[in-house]
Amino acid sequence: MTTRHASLRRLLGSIWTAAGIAAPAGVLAASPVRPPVVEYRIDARLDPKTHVVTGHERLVWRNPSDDLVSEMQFHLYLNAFKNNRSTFMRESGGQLRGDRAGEKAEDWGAIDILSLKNGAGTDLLASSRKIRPDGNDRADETVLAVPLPSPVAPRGEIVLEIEFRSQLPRIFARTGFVRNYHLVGQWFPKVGVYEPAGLRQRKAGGWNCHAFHANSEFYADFGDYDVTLSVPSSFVVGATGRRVSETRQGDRTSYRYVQENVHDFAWTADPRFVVHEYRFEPSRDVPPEWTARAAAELGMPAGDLALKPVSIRLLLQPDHRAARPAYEEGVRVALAFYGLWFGAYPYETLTVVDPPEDGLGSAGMEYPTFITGGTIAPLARWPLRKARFTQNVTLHEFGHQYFYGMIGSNEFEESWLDEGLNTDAEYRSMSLAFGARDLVELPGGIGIGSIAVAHTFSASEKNLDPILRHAWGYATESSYGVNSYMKVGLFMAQLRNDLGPEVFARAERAFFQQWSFRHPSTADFFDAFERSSGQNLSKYRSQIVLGTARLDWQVVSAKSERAPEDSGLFDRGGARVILEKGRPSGSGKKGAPKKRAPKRWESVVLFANTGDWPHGAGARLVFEDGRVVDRALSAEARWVRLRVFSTSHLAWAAVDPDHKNAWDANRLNDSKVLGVGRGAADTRGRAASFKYLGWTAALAALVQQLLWSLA
Amino acid sequence: MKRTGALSAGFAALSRGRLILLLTFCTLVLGGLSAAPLAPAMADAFRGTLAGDHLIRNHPDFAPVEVLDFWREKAAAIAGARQSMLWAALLGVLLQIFFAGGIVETLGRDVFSVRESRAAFWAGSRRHFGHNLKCFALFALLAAIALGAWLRLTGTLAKTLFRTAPPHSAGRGAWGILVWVVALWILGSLTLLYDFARAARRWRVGIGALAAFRKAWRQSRGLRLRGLGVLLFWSVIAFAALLIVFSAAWAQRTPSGPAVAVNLALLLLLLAVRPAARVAAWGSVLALFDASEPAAHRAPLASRGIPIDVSGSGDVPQSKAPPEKPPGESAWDDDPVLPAGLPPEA
Repeated sequence: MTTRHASLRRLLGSIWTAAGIAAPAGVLAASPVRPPVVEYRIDARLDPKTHVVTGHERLVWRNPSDDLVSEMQFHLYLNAFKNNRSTFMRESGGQLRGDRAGEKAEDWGAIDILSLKNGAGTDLLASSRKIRPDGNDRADETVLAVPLPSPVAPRGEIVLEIEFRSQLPRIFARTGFVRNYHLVGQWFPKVGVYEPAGLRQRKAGGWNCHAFHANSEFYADFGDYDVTLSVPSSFVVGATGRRVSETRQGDRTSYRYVQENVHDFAWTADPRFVVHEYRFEPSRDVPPEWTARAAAELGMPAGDLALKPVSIRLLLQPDHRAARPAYEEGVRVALAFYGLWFGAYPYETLTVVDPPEDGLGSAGMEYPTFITGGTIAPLARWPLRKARFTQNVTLHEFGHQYFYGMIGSNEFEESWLDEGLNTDAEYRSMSLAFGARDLVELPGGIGIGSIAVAHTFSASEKNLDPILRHAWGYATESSYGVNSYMKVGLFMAQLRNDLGPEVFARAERAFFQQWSFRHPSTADFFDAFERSSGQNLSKYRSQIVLGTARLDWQVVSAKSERAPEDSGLFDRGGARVILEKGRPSGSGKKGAPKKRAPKRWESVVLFANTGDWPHGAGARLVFEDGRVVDRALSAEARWVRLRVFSTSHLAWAAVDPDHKNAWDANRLNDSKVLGVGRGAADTRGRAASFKYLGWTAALAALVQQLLWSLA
Repeated sequence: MKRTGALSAGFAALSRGRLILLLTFCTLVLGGLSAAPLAPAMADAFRGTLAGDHLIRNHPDFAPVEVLDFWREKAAAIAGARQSMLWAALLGVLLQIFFAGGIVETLGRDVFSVRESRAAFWAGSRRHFGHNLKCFALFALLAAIALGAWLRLTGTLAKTLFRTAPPHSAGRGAWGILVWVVALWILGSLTLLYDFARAARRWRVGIGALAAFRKAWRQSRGLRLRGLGVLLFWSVIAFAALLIVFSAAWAQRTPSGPAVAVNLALLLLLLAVRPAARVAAWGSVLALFDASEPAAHRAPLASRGIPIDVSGSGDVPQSKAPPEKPPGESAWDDDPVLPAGLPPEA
């Protein structure tokens, strides 16, 4: 069924491409693979005193390939926090997001498999071994290989019964506990992904089960989860999926959660949570103008973009009650934007966890139908009410329900496909909802937008890596961050500006719909975009995603001078005339009529692209009389000199005056101001330089005065 | 010397326009020198490109990006400005210490003509500079020890007390308030002590720094609450005035040339706020100090070696009675000897 759909899509893609039009989006969405590759049934019990989770896991694994599979591989992620010899600890130096691991004995975490048997009851634990698939550290214990007594047949299945014990670490790298708050992620033995030949351009089938690295996240197969969690009854629990039952036994309560077509399961338990439950109602929560805009960009009838109601469960810290509107706003914007532009959120529930401020190491994380936000109390108060970090993190983490949640790319190997594409969607949704200064708006007109922050981070980062790298292969942690997040946001903004919003939106939706509940690669992304847009995007792929190309158009020089008036012999109107400084020879003689030639200015502007990415730009020359001259600068040109004769002095010249080239590394050199003009030519740079120098001096003096106060 | 209330004395001190102007001028010069390394970079970035136009009009999209690009592209100029600010701040501290001598010498004394006051001010600044420098060193040392010990102690205690308490719990909040109120109280008390130690030279021209602190400690007994109240009053007034002027300057968005001139004038006013408040606070503190200084201890101005021109004025007050040593008052024991060559008190 999948193969037939793919063929049909390719055929339609060819027709649209041949017709030179972007494919209308929203056709032939991929459906989840059924029966799923994995089915987990887990019974787990939390001891909040020791912060230990003991569990029993029944795993059904279905071989998705035509290979005989004689070994299983499992992620034991919690062992990354077992000691300071793990690959994760070595790479991170024991710190992540400001948290430091291993300062106390209780900081460490680990997962132990107590028993591992197949369906026939044969013990598999004795023959299992820890392996180092990435040549990672010898002491690393995050990947377990389990040889099977008999291989799993192609399309066949195996059942495994596993007993495990997970000691949670003190909150570190997305998981753990602080006081009675528990965020339980990557806590159970999770099978790796067996990639059949052809998947992600793989030549032969095999396991993809990487060690847990400091800069990497996860990769798993889609499946069904049925998890029962036993906790003290005073604890409030939130988890992936739908809660289907709640059973109280003595002072403990068991909660059962089920969810289909997801690739992970996480949960939280804390007696302090303030629970707020509500529904996202599309008829109320989706702005009609957004629907109209999405419909126009996607070329779809608005009726086909209908979203579904979603049950939201917001688990707030008591001291963050005031942050509730910010969380709700983030969820509302996210469900509406992602739903309209990519497709309706397919699950019934969404749980949003607000971590405590001493547990922010678990903030900003995504699991299927379950995300952690993150806030601090001052963000809900003046003057930071419009510093939208809470909305931003909520929106971003929700976006991962789509990118990696449904687009199951390999976060270890191609982090840009989930973090980057999601970051781009986050920027667009933030901008749509909150305007140009979507990220921070402070009293007094100070503010900044997400894309400006991305530009700054990107331009400030040493250009050491391409966007695409294995997550642990980047030169530095910040290089991983910038390349996986911000640079992709800028690259996608550039692509959107170059393709146009309609073509871009349709291509992205086509990619999304084609690869939902699958495992796409970078090649699949470009393939989908090229097919939908009908354009060759190889220069974006090879030079930006696989390369380190920079773009920096600038105005190198600009001058505007009185053009020399004509002097000499000129053949005009069939007759030869002699001109002296624009006047006919002899006209200066006594008694001759004075006839002045009109003033002419010669303006010469030199533009150059000093980056190494050949890409065009728009140029604009504005004269003091308000006249505007626009020109296109060729992508192939290293430099372009424009010479314009006019009756007015040049006021300013600029390249890319509307900031269409999101990839441009430096905005400060994009213009030169020569004079003062009217209307469009009016600039106040001179006044600005005085004003801001004065402000700098005044602020310096004020700071000094503050020091004076101590003397 | 008339005895007036501390606050009235502070308000009266505000009439010392020249002194306030002098302090403002110094701060302006130091601020200007600090910012000077940025001038070419600013001219290049803001006058020579559209970025200045975007910035002064606060363009929602472009201004933030260009400001951040300025920050990155002109990093060397910014680093230069930061260095010069550091040195200017140091120079500013020294100037403040220097001017304190003149302020102590002349403020709140209605015995000088303007010309005399100016001369006395500079003479006092020069004469007491060494003393004030030592007092500053003592003040800095005391503040570092007292505040450091307090914050370290409370930090250690908090770790034990609130190990299992969630963030923003009532206990943590109350503790935080207590810690900072006490820290402010310590700083305020030490500031008052420091001011009194410098003021000791008002009447006891040769007193040493250590003796001045001891004297200040004794003399501020019973006055500390009032003293702290006075300092708090002027701090609040200064903060409010700063806020108002700053808001007015910040809110002024018009990009025209005259509007920028007005804006710069507002910035000047902004810089005058702190000097005015400090002069007022000095006025109040000196009034408190004078009130606590036994009249008998106040040396006649003529005996203080201050090179003021009194010819023709004839109105320099002379002490009518010799200072009497109060019985059992040990403070008198560490009185300095009057400068050599000066006549004994009349």
